[in-house]
Amino acid sequence: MRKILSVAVSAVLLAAIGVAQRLTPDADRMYAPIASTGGLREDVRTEPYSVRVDAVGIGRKLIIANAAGLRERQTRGLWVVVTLTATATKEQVRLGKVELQARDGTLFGATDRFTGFDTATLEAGIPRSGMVAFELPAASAPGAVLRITEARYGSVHRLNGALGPAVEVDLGITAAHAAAAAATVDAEQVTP
Amino acid sequence: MRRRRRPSRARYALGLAGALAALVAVQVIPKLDDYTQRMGGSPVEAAAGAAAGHGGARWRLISLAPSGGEDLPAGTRPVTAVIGVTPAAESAGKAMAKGCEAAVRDAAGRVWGRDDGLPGVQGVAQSCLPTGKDNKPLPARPGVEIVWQASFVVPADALSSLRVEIRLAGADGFVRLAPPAAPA
Repeated sequence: MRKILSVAVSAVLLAAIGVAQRLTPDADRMYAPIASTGGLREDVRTEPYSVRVDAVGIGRKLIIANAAGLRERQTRGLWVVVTLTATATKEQVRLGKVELQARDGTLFGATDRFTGFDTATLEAGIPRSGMVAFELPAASAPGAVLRITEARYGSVHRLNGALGPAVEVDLGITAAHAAAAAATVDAEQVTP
Repeated sequence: MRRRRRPSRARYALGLAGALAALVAVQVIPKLDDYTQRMGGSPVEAAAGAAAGHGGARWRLISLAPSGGEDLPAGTRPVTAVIGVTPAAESAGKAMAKGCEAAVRDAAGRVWGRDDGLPGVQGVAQSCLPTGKDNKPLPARPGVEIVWQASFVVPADALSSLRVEIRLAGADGFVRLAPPAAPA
């Protein structure tokens, strides 16, 4: 009887070890930034800054306005232009890494085809607005989430990646929105 | 034959506390300097309107007052700090030659760096380095005060509690100066 009990307990323990190993997150998930989430027109507060998504535009051609005038940028996919307002909490900081995460987990970085709001300097308590544009396949737009990580401080260098703060905002893009994308979408260049 | 006394529980507890203290000393204390440096160093505080010593020089805040500025963000105010610095020795002048970095901080701990786009106070130097007629930097002379300025754009609600912080490149810590009266 005692032997049977020992074998049963051992089997349960082995199963528990297997389950624990399966449930243990991998290194990427374990050290992932800690996200604060929100929706459109909601203030999402993190340690370095608060961010609000004011508007989302989708188009097949990007019209960029800057001091030199207007420029066009074509794409075979879609342009998603996100208008943001952000305020630094304590000290000078830049947004850092700004990405769109598709439903399948693919990450699209902010385009470098114009100077977007991701490069703007934010000052404590002084709200600033600007735009960030993403070029992505039409199929990746529905359900895309704006993801901002790795804030860049102006004065003191701090490691802010692993377990650092992150902003995540569901942009509310549906398949119908993506299908009905406008011919053009406007984006305004910022002065960093 | 004498029996050896067993150590009491209190002795075990004392040993454990000692071991814990040693662990903290070994693990934490060597990293404190690095942490303080990362957080910007420790300040040398001066009372309102008073001077303070830092980096071998005497620092004083002559004035902190609203100044002019155009196209500023809504809800913000420009403010200019006029600072006096007197090097005590030649070595202090050499330390200043690497540059002085000025910032303002409010009671909530928010900090703003200088904004060189503001006009500031006419006739006052923009740098803590004395310059000659051709604008070339000159060595700071011991005992001679250099008056210079730095301007900032801050939210209006920060004005009443601003302090000026000055860092010397390569020096530990910084000096924090309080104005004799809050900017109106």
